[in-house]
Amino acid sequence: MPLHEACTTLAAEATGESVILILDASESASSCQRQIDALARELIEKTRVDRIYFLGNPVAYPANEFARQSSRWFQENRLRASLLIPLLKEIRREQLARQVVIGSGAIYDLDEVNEQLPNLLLVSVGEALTPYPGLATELASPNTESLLASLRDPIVRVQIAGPGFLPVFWHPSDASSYRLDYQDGSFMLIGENLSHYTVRLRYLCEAGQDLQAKITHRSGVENIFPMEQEPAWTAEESPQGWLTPDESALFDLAAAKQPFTCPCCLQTKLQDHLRCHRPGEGILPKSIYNTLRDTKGLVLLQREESRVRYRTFPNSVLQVSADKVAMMSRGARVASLFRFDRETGRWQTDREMEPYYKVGEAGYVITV
Amino acid sequence: MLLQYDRTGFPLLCLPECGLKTHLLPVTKIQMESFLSEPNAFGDTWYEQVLELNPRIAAHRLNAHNRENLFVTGIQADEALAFAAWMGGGFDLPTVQEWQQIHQGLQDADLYLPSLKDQLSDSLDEPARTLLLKLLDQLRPSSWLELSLMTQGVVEWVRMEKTSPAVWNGLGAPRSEFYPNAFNPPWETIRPLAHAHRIRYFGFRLVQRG
Repeated sequence: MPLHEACTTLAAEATGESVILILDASESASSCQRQIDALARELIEKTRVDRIYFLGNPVAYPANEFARQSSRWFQENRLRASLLIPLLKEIRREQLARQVVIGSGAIYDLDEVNEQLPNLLLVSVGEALTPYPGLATELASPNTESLLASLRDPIVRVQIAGPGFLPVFWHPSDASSYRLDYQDGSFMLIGENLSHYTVRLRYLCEAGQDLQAKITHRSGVENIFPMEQEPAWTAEESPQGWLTPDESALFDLAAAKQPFTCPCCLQTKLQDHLRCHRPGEGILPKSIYNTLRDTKGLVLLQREESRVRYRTFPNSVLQVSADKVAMMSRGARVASLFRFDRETGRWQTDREMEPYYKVGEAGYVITV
Repeated sequence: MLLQYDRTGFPLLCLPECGLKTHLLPVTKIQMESFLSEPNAFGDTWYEQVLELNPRIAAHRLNAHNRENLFVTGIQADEALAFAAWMGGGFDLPTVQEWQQIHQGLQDADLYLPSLKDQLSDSLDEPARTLLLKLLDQLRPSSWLELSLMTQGVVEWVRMEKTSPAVWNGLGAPRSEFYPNAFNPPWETIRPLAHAHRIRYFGFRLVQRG
């Protein structure tokens, strides 16, 4: 299968206590409204509840208004039936939050949606919410402490993978965030023991395929979530600018495999000379292009008439052709090329990238 | 056959020769639930009564023996009309003559299953997509009429011609497992014995005129 590019976002708190509260105001729960209200107040006070929904209603209510407005909200929603489908799209947005339904009486479409809500917890304060047993985890009339205990199960690991998956941009991407792993021809993005697991990514994957996020909690419970593609966004993910005229001239010589005079050591060098010691700037060699001296990783240089534009890649991954990427691993001095094999659906190590790797008509990728 | 979609995302067939559109299938519980999720006179209590006669199944649990559970039955004609009013302009229960015209029109129309599957896969959202595609796999219909379940479905509410106030009867022939009496659709209407009671095998489909 050919590769295509898509974007997605995973929104998640590490604590496992982020809660979306779904309250039952329907006829079947009308006699239990006081208990539902009381339990909701305790959860709002003792966990992280941002939004509240009512069965049958896709509209989100702000949790910080619940204490003042709950009577009115229950009244507004009392004529709706006990259904989850109308709000499914909304509550699935924050995929890793616990969705806690408090109510009484069957949720009619539960069997239609429960597989899409692996974090669903039902709390019945009267009649059972499952139309028949075994459809979802249900606590019957729990006290607040036992309910809180069942909600406290922090996330310890998130693994994002999929057919042909390779992220070309992800944010945040610092050392304390996700790392890219390569095993047996597949790439995966892994976050472990992070303070939060929210990540936005632009990625390649086999056309028509979706990614999955495997979430592991401290208790050992694992859930797998499909990650829905979202409309392509164009974040300022590739800082760019222009080389100076001297640097542009140097680039032309190096790209054409001509000798040039290094501006740092003033010696004649060839194109594999990309870093050099700068007098008075420490012992570590830096880019021979002064404009890029604080940049790390891959840089795309493109001649545009009289000037040379540079683009940097925060995640050090750059798609260089339909089935090929250049990638710079953490700690590596040279980038590697990986090729996607459409037959096997696997990424294969191609070779080390040459110092000025040609991309398109007028572009070259270098490592700095 | 040209397909359009109602506000719940379920398909309507355009039948210009009859001057109307019709639901491809009897109205499903998923469609009815869109209506029930809005504040109106039909809440949990009403739905419990309906489900008691014909329990709900999730689309992914559809098999050869339970397909009638997908559809709303046990509903009364005036309740079906409330759903039609919510559905929007021109929606109504069909008259006997309209129902029979639709039956005839679907009998004569060619069905090419692969292209219909592709069209439904592309056009429908969940859970309508799962429901329709599973139903297609199970029925393997050779005609639009078979797919429509105007027979082998449920008895459907129809309005007797030129009656005022309206008189509601039924047309259609359920499978014997669902209702074990033989009818002779589409020509003989079925008269409910008592309109005040819910009848397990009475469902409905809507037409849109104009």
